[in-house]
Amino acid sequence: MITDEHLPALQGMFPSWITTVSNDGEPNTTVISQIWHVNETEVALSFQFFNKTKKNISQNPFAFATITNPATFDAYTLELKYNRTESEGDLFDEMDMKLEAIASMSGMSGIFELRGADIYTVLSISKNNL
Amino acid sequence: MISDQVYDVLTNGVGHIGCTSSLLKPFHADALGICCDQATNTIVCCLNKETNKLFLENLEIGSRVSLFVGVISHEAYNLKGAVIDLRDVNNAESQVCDDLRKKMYGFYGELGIPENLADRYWLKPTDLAVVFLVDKVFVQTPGPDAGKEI
Repeated sequence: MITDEHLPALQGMFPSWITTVSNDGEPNTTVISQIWHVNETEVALSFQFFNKTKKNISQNPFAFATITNPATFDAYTLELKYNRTESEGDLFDEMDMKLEAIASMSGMSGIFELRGADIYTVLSISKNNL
Repeated sequence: MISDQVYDVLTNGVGHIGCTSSLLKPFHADALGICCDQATNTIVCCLNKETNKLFLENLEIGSRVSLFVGVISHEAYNLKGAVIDLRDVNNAESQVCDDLRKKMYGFYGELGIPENLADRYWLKPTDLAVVFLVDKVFVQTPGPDAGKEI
């Protein structure tokens, strides 16, 4: 599902977009700094705050995301389904380190603590350019 | 409901508009230009049909939508409401899209991103206007007020 073609779009160079829906049918679209590559069928989002996206996903596991390759501007849309949250391990440590580096550079060290790596199964991925 | 501050971000920022299917699966589309009438609390999002098929397959009059729009300073808002019209983009709206695209090229140029690359996102026909009536506005600028309804 996820191939080498998609990996540059999962490096966090360009922001990504995600839409979720509450169980009463209210969509919520927002921007996120990065969607992380886990393996060929899974991606991860950082869980730092109990925000609308997290609340929606706790009610309804489906999400829709767009990622962009910064070198080519190729855009891809992903249909996702929440699977699990990891709060330790190599992926969690990698995400924690990068987020802390970003926070440190913006003078917000210690504020954006990573609570978990939310793992999503990729249901589909498709290129979205003309 | 739509303050001048929100209006400025709406008309100068990059937006994405989301909807849901009847089975509660979410979708979104790139907004290539946004027009706002503060007097009637209506927003027009100009889209390209070809690159937003999944979104459009699940959008109809009455659909609930969520428009996220933000500017480079990270100031951002989320406006929600129900779709009241789906129609062609008119000349004035098309001009708004052209103006925004040129503004974005200036921004990308400062980052060293050439126009021909930016074209891949921005240079698309704007052939559908999604009109919705805003009933909720949320702050989405990162910080203590994020998520607060205004």
